[in-house]
Amino acid sequence: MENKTKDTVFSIIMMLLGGYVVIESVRMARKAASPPYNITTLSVSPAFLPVILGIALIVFSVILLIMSLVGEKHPAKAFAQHITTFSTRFVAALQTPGILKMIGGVAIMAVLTFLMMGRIPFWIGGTLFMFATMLFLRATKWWKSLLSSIIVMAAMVLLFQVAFGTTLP
Amino acid sequence: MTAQYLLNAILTVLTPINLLFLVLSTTAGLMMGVLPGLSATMAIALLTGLTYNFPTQSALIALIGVYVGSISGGCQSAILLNIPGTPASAATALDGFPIAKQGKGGLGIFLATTVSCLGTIISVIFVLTLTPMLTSMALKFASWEFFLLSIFGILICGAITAQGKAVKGWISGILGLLVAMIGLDTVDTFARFSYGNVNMMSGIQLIPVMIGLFGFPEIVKSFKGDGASEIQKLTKFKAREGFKLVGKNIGTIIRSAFIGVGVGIIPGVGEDVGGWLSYWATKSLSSEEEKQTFGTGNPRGVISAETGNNACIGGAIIPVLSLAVPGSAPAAVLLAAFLMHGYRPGPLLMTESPDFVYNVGIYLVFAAIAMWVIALLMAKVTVRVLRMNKKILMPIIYVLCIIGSYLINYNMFDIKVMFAFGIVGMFLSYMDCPPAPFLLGVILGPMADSNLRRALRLSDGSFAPMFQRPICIVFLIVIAAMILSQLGVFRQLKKVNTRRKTA
Repeated sequence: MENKTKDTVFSIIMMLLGGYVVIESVRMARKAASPPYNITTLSVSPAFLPVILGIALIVFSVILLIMSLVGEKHPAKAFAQHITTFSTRFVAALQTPGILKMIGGVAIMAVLTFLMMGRIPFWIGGTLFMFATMLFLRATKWWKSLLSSIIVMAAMVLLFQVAFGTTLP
Repeated sequence: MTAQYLLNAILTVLTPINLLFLVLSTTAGLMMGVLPGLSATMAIALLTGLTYNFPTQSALIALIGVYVGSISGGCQSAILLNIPGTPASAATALDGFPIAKQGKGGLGIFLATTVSCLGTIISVIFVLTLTPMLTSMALKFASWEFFLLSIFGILICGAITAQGKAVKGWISGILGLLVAMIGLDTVDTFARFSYGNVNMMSGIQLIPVMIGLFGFPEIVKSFKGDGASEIQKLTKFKAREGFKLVGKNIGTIIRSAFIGVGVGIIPGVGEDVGGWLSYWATKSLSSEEEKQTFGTGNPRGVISAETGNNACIGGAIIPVLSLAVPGSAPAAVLLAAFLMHGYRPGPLLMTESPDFVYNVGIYLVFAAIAMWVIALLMAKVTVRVLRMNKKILMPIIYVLCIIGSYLINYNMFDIKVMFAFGIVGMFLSYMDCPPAPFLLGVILGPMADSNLRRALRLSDGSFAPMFQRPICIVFLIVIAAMILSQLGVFRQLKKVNTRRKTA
């Protein structure tokens, strides 16, 4: 994808984020001005640096947007075209086998991170994750994947739990 | 007396048991440094507990060995895998990985390891000789200077890593600073961006953010079969060629070591900034033609970054010894370890334990030499580990990333933070936005925030004192010049002047 297209979309997202940071920081400043904090001067308020950072984010995003549209005969048209191109290519990319594999891999990682950790012992969760991911990616034969997952997990438990005396998740 | 202390330290380290500790700890440090997600801080933290029952000198040798090993080990995965093993090696990956892609992975690792050793040894000269002078210089830094220093560090990092679009690097740095704002602020314990979540109130830990930003995208890309995370070969090379390159760049090494020590001595600014600043200095001082080769596999990029980050070790230890103020995150853990073993670093150290500074200096030299030998011998093992089928290796690395995120605080929330920042890292990578300034923002955010707040409190909210301090004025001029030059203002002014002259 053309760099200018990415820069346009990135600057818009960052501008929105900067706007949110400024609004949230103003709320923070108001809260800090009330009891028990009673900090009424903005420059010594805990919201001061976040306000500055929010504004800086907006300013730099505007500069990036201008830079991505410099040299275009019709900046407004070019802006609309960048947004359309980005959306079209993004949707198209979601249907390619490589990206689908990435999404599948992230989903397996999310299952381990959010559903397994803390609910089942780490050595079971970790081994299952490695085995499932290797199978999904067709890394090697299923029994080799299983064997390597078990060996690696055993080595990790030995190193961290036995040698270093730490507690695994 | 100094000679006696040095001789005693050498004799201590040369005893068989201490040599064994040195080799084992340096190897452990290297392995920790090589594996992405396992940092120097974590390596020292893990070893501190293990050394509790060790004889004091053996424990010190082991701790220093693991520190030097882990900082140096990060370069191997940075060069072969494009994933910095530790944040200190982030700048190394810029030219190290392209060198490996050119089929010179072996030479890249030889260069990085050799200059890492030299950087550490040069920094020891500072530890032993210039400690009082450098300490008095660092003492001149007050809150305003620390605030401007952190902003300066982020701006430089953004300008270097954004490949011609500094604004993107600066945006990335601001995002990192915003992440550092999450949690209770250090001055009024006011909860910022916490949304009532207790875990968020205690702030976002650095290690999960680092692992997420740098490790996660590489793991996910490997699922797709993307060439970016491909592990490069450790090719054969002629040692003579490597030594020639080192000899040819001795000026760069000395300059980078000076920068590394200077950065290391400033409290809170760690090895990563040392690497970036040294890299930036080398790039800036190069000819216009050579500047274009940085980022495409210029050996001077690797030489300057690795010398700079390793020289930071000695630099970071100087304030630990003289002020009991850590120069970096790993040095903070090292300070705790020194205290655990009965030493009281600080102004009274030279009176209470005058031999301690010399012991530390000599242990650093031996650790650097041990690291050089072991790293080169171990490179083949490292490559075997990193050369595994990436579809097998990457799920294993993700499990290590989980362990790495968890071990810092023994908190499940940190694992979720790592995942979340992994998604942020993917987004930044997709948008061609460098993650390094983001990480630096997270590291320097607390320093910037607490010092700015403190300074403003002392001046009743006025910025006037900032413009009355000479070091601040220098920082402000450099920051303004950097922003204006990166935005092309000077170029435009030059054009206008030329037009006027021709008219």
